[in-house]
Amino acid sequence: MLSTYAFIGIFTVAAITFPLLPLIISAIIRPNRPSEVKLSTYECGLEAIGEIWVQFKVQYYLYALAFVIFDIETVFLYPWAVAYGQLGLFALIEMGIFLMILTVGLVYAWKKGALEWI
Amino acid sequence: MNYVVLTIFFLLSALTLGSGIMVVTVKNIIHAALWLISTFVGVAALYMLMEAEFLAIVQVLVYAGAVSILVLFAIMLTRQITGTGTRQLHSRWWVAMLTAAALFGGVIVPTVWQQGSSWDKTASDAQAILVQQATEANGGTRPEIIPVAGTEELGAALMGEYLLPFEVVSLLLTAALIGAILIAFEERTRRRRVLTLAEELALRKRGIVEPHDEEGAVVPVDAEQAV
Amino acid sequence: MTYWPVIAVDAWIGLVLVSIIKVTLILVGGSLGMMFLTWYERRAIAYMQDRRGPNRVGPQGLLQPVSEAIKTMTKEDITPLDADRVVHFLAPVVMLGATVLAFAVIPWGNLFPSSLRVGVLFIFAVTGLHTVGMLMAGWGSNNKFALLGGMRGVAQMVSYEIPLLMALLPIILLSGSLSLTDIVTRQGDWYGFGWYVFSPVGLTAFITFFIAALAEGERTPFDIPEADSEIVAGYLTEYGGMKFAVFYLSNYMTNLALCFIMASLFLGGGNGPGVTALGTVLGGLLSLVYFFIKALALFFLMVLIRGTVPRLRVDQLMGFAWKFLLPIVLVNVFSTAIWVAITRWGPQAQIFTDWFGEPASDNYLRYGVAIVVTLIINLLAVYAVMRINRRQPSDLTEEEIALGLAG
Repeated sequence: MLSTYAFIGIFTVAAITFPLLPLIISAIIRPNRPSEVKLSTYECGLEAIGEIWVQFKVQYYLYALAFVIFDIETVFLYPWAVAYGQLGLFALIEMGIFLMILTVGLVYAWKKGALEWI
Repeated sequence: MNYVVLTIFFLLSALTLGSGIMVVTVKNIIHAALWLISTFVGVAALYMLMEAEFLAIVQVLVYAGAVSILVLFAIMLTRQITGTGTRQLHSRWWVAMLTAAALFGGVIVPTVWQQGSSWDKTASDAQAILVQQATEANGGTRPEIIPVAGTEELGAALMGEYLLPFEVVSLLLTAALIGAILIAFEERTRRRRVLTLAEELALRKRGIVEPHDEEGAVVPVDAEQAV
Repeated sequence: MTYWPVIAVDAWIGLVLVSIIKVTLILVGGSLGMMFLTWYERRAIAYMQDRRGPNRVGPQGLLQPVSEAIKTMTKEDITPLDADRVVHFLAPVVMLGATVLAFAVIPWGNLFPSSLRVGVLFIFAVTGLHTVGMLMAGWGSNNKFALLGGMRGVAQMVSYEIPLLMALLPIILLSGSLSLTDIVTRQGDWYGFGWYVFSPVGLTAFITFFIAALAEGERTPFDIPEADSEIVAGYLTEYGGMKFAVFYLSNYMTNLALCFIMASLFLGGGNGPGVTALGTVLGGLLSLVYFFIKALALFFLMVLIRGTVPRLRVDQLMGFAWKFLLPIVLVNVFSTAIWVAITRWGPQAQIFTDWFGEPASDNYLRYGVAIVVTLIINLLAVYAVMRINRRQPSDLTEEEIALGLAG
């Protein structure tokens, strides 16, 4: 079993090296002639005004929150799905209840307009 | 003794702890969040080394992929708070340190106490112990389902022994979602009602021109007036 | 005293060597495949638009990607003065690294089988790190367009990741395993045509997964992060030269990985007529051919959609994930559970055995009943969701309009 993880580990090292390699090669062979205009922030030719850190709307956060909640729900569903073939009617009903309770959350968010993009 | 695995273990631990220290010491809050992701990934790699693959994957999926995004979005929701002037420590930092140390001790001492004799065992040894314990508890015969080892056993355990926690989790998640929506919308109604894109389109389709101010910007409808 | 299972040092060296060869093969194959895809997409989309596409460099323009690689390599790299240099540099590395890691567990036909038991989840866990790379790119550039594009992109990715993960559940229910290799092997029945897509639940899962995959790969109807008419190039605005090329590479690698995954999960991977009959070597090669044909067909479908469907508005995009895909996918999980119950359950549900006979792969009565029941459930779900959504596009009531105009 450990050999599988060793492979994944080696692959991880390779996956980190893979994007670095062309970046390093290109850093060696490309020209480098910076100028002030070239290095300025792109803003369609205008001077950039103010900070970039504008306050983002709450909608983004609500989506992220709904994402985390449904992500956790899905994580709970996976072990159930793997074991389901060996389990019985009980598992089906229990998962039905689990999904029901979470659907209530979805319906609430929907009704309340939290899924609406403004 | 296997020095290769041991070396990997120490490297991963150094990565995890180092990133953890960076989280609390860097001044830039976004950098802190990014270091936090690195910590999560390091912990996942340690789980992988312990052959707890499902846990490792969930650690990456939920913490590194989802919770970190929630944290970053929450930072973006605020006004700019990054800056060298931000203080890193509260004046009563020692209280926090003592609490953290006490919590850590509270977890580690009973663990060492109880598992002290078996903490140099491998994962397969641990599984053998689990099988033995379950067999003894079952009165000598090996039960069909051995407590948590892989994904399948985890699923079976969730549907059997841990059924109530499992269902309570769904309630907890729903409560979290509803609570967050309530708070966010209270905030929004206190500010002002903004038409959604779909609503704007619906208005335009009916030939109703939206109200404009002198500069041509759409004037939002005040929610309190609507009430 | 042993801390971990003892493996002799020479065994380690052998393991590392084999792994390195495998990794090199997969990475070279992946890069070549990605280069081919960029050429293929441009040629295909050109023919859809009555053009010819790149056809000058090499035979049929096949060397076009190579010339572009050389071009981007030798281009000057610009990092804006205001940018956070480290984050700006690391963003493409995170993006491509996460994508490449997914290839660790994808079997190519019957080649490169992976013994990781949670392979499917592994893929989506590591590609989930894309969002982190996107936010790093958006924030690290210190540019308003970039940050907006990054935030939008992440919001889109997280919205579509839920339908993506949930659309997989039916396949897990049907196969009872999280290993891609196992899932492919279990579709080998019926002369290599036991693909999961050939059932109402599998088909629904496939369609929903495909749509969500388009969004995950930032393919055209869902390419809001790069909506150039609104936010220039999104999170890529401040990237040029090789860093941009790495993002581009990551995008196509993701698409390649998604096509491979869909071919493996829904279309039987390397399974097809004759694979088992021809033995290990010839059959393995045949499986590779089948696998590539399926993946390429899926990619052609993606290109076809790009050639026909215009970009969605951002609120439609989000609404589609949460109000359309998610309910359908949830219902589909349930109807798959019913499908498995009807087709597989013997001792757990005596009543099914009494009605339809013992569960077996040639018990067509059970499969017929399952097809009818799940088809009805799924069609009802689609109809209901469409009805709710048709009423939904938050039309204001007359009162609200009056109030709006008054305010």
